[in-house]
Amino acid sequence: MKAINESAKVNNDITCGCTKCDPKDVCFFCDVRDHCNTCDSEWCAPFVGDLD
Amino acid sequence: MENIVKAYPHKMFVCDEKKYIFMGYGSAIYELDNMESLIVENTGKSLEEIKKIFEENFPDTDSSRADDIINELTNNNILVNEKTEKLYSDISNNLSEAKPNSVTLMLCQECNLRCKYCYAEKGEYKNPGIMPEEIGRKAIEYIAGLDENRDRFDVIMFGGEPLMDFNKIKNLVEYAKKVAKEKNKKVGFSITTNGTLLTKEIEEYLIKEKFNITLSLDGGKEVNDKNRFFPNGQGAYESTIKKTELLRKNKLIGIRGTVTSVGTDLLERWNDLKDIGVANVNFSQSVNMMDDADFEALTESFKKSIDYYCQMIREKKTSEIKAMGFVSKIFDKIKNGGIRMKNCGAANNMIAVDKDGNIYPCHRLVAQPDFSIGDIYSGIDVDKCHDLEKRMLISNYEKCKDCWLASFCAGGCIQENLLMSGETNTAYYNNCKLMKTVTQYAVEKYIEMLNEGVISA
Repeated sequence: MKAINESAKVNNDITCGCTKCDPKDVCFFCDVRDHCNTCDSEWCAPFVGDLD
Repeated sequence: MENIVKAYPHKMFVCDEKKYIFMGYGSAIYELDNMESLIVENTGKSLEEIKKIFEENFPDTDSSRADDIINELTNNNILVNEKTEKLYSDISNNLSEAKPNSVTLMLCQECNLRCKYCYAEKGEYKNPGIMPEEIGRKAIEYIAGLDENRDRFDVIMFGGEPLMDFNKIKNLVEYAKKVAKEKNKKVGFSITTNGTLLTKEIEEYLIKEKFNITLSLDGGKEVNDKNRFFPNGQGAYESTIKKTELLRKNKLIGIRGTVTSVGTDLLERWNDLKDIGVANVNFSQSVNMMDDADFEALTESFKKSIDYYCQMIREKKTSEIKAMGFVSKIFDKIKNGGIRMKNCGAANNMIAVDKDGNIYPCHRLVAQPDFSIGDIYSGIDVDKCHDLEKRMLISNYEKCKDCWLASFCAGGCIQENLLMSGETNTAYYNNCKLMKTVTQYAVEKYIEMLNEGVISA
């Protein structure tokens, strides 16, 4: 089988953490609650970061 | 007893004539060959039956290959195994220490606008008034001192409209900085505002203090002013735009638009917002102001937005891609995946404090006394906090726990669930349908771009 995303590359057992996000990003999971620092259970390493 | 081979919740789909599997817990995506997919498709049967089916379908292949594939599927946590069962159980049972590091201050439970969809009812949360400065200070002390092991805390100025009392914001910022210095911590500030009370002085202040700024604006004038207006009925768009010139010029604003039945075309909204000078645009649906047909239209609009976003990627229009948060957030999650048992960090890593000093899991639940989890004088009631955390676990969402998007969606916002389904842990069916359709569409587009070499895995 071929891994298609990051989770698959590590056998589908990563848990989400939040240590790398840009504080200027509006966090989807927090709705209007600003940025991921407010809810560390969420996701980081944004997709768009790879396109630079 | 028969040795039944079970798979974790998943969805199989075909894209570009290849087979893929999307895993419900972990959101991992794999491309499967015909042998692998045959075994997954026959889970729920005994090992002996599966091997027999394998031999019938692939008579020229050594039957030991089926064992190898089953091992590989198990190692990748596609098939149920003890190690992964323990992992999911540990994550679910590992409740927080009830030491959040971010506080949303409900500074002004009043607002100068009268937006139709306001969940806080005129911004008042059924309890109008302004937070006394002493309460704000106490809340800051509380959040700063909760966890000595953390080197940062965050203060979010919220309302109603927090700029109805700018002087208090300034005083509380100074106080938070003083507390942070004493505790050798960093402090971050955020504000969510409608922008209509900004002045050049306030804009400069927010920039100086490095505020993360979320501006409530729904789109262009026509769409925005149908729902967002002053008490005299005058639309708020022109005031919001006029008063945010400096912030927009410096692209320091994240937009939070609310979608209702007045306009479900997200691309139209995006086109009206993208050139006004914004860092990021996100949309959230006001679930109680949309019917089934509106959700259908919103789903189609998301698909068109995803197509547009993919086109921007192909054309390498990076700045536009970055600002289009309402689509990029979906692709972020597809690219990364990960096990997530709760929809958000409410009560776990963030709290809201109302004007009287009561603590709630988040600002959306402030008007719900049953959801109070303490106050700033006696602190968080750990049992209540844990009770909510348990209710938020996707494994306690009866209708969601076996869904292929269990971790991706994690059951949705608990306040929206409560509003529309009557229970925090019953997902609203329209949100559910939207999430499934849009995510599958985005996954297929993601894979198409991978196969074209436009992006890399």
